[in-house]
Amino acid sequence: MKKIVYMVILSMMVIIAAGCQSPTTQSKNKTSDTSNNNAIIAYVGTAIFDSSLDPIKGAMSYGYSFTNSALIKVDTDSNYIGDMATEWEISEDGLKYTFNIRENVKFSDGSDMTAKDIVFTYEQIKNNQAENENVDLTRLESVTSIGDHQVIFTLSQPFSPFLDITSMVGIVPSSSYDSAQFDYTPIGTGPWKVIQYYANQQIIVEPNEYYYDGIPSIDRVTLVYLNDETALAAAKSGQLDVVMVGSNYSNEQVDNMAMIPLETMDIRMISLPVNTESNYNGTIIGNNVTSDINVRKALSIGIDRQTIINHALGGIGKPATSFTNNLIWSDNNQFDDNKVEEAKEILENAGWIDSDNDGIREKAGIKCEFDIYTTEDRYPLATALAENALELGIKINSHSSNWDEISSKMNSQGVVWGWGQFSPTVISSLFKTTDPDGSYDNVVGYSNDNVDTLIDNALGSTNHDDAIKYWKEAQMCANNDYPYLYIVNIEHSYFVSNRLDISINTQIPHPHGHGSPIICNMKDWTIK
Amino acid sequence: MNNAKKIALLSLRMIVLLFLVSILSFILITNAPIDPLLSYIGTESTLTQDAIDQIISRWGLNEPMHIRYLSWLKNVLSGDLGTSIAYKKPVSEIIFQRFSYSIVLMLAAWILSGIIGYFLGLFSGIKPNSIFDKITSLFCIVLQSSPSFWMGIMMLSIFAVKLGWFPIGMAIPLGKLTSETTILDKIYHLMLPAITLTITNIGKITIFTKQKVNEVMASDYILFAKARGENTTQIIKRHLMRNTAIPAITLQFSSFSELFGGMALAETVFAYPGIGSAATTAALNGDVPLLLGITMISALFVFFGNFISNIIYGIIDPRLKQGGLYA
Repeated sequence: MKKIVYMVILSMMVIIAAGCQSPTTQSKNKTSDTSNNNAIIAYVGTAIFDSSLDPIKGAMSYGYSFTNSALIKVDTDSNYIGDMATEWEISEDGLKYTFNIRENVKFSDGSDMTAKDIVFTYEQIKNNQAENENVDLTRLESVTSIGDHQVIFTLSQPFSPFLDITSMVGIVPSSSYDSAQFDYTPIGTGPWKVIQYYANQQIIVEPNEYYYDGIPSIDRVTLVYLNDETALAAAKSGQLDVVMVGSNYSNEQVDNMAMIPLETMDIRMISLPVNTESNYNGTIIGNNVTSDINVRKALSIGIDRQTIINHALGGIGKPATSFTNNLIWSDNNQFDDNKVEEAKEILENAGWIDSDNDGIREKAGIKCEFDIYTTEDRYPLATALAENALELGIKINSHSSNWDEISSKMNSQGVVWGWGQFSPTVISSLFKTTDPDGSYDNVVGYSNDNVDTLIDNALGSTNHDDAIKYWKEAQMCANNDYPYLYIVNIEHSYFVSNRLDISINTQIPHPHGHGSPIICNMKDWTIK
Repeated sequence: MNNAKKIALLSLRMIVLLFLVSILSFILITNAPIDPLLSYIGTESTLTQDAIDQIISRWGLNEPMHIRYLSWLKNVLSGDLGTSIAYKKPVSEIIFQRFSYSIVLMLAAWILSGIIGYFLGLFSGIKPNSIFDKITSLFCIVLQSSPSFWMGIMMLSIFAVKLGWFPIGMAIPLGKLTSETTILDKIYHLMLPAITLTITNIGKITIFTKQKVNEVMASDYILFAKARGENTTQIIKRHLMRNTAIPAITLQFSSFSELFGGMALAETVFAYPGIGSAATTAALNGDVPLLLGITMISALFVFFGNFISNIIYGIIDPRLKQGGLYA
């Protein structure tokens, strides 16, 4: 019996000792002593922890990198401004992009950044394209440096969104790049460097003392990995300075913290198949109800988006009838909705009449009814829309599902989508004619020669302004047919400690990113 | 049978087990309704077909199942568990990071619940229907029927949020570097999840032991022992513990695998960075290498758990030793 007790005690000790040597990755940089007063702890969702921090593997490519700066970046008005590059030029044929590189920029390890590092970074991604699902360099033919401060990119075909790509790629040093180390503690030219990385627990960053554009004033930021509920509990016990919350928690009260909603470019829209039902290689595509443009138009002008937002998102978010105006390529086609009478008239003129008095319209024996499939998180939006559409006599059945089932229904029923990125390539994905081959592009089956030409013009334009003009025209043209029902421009909600100023004026509009984009301007944050 | 032979047989058994487990889990995950390509690039991706093709060939996503399995097996035999698609990091690295946290928590909870549960059952069984017995029984029935995530949330909101005695989550202090963290910090962060897991696992063993004690106490040899004039302490030491320890240990070892389930829940509630959350991520993203790696390690863990229990039988009851190591 004694033996067992000894064994138990012994094994406990071994286990605890083993656990205490838990592997963490500490960067070789010396850390400065910091007083806690000038350090903050933030919960900004878990997206940062889910993948590698290495820009070569697609880390932080949505425009809010904190460790590795890219050639260019967006400003608060969504215009591109220089970051590692100072100016750039696109050749007449749209094939050559020449960037002049900023001088006297150092990496966080103290080494100089030159054109060679930029060439290295892009070649590294191109050679390992399969490791990077966010940055697509398949159209890049070659990248060369001229001297230390100029880089020329040559494309295989004109592709105007290449400029967007250059804002997504954080530069890594050619001399010290190490694929394994950069997963945790990348070396870059950004305002921050990772001091310690604890997988799925916390990432501790401190200012990069070599940053070219003003060293951040906060001495240490800890980004923690929690779940939304635990994070809110931690905030209530006073342990966090920034907490991302879902819209369902935005009415909570937290002592010494203020609720701040921040602007995003993230929209939610519903795809409405535009063709009548048919059989395509054995699968049903198209929908006999949504294929009627009058149904789609009536929905678009007749629903009350604000009410839907109030019901589904606790009132957080703005009604949207197009892409947001904080995107420079958006056609910003804003119009008033809740025109119930006008919508009803459109439906009645089109022959959709409620003849059996069940509240749902019919036409030629078909009920004005279709399904909407969505993932669980967007389900409240679908049900709130369904409730609202009923007032117009249109019945929507909403289903909470997984992407596997959604994929099988997306060509014949409605699906809730979320979009929010700086790159206008989304217009091509949404509206350009494609085969319904199971890909997620243009699931509604929209096809318009005019729109296709405009998209081709946009992709092939040799300067940024022309490209934007074509993108806008393509949207305007396509939106006349209402293939997508835009609902809401969501807002990201955060509780922010009263002692912290997150510099709202320098926040860029947040891309799709589950709350992480708040760190985009972390270098400007100050303790009051 | 000599020892070398026994060990060889044991290893063979382990290899066969691992092989079968790996085939089964491979078939399950590749047939699950999850498209790994989709979870990798996301539904709202604008990648060109060219880039997508490179991704497919890099991760071998469109090769036939048996080819994928064989190439995985080949790599594993040469010591390479592969790279996780979801985390883009080597599988062995992720498992090592996560398992080192999980194993401490799991074993702490398992040992504590075993020891405490056993003695609670022992003492409440000696005096049936005493107040101690009634309270213990009620306590155990309530615990047995309450889900562990609910228990976790209750513990968290009472002891961490309301009273502030324990940290809210994680295995290390917020915002501190390794150089600023002590072993006491780690134990402090381990306590609440370990206590929660202990409490949720204690009910079964307590009730079971109590039942066994009742049986033994009603037997003739206890009556005879009492007649011989043995006092309660002597009865406990000489008869009760000897006759109830083996069934209790068997039960506790058979719940070894259940710990993984409880772990995943405790990890979610306490934001404890263990293997459970990595397994969930792997399953939801169709991450075959990571899921297979975790399954292998878990199978090994359970295998060795059962192996150890066999050794312990031998120590407690030398008669069982005759049957061999792997009785």
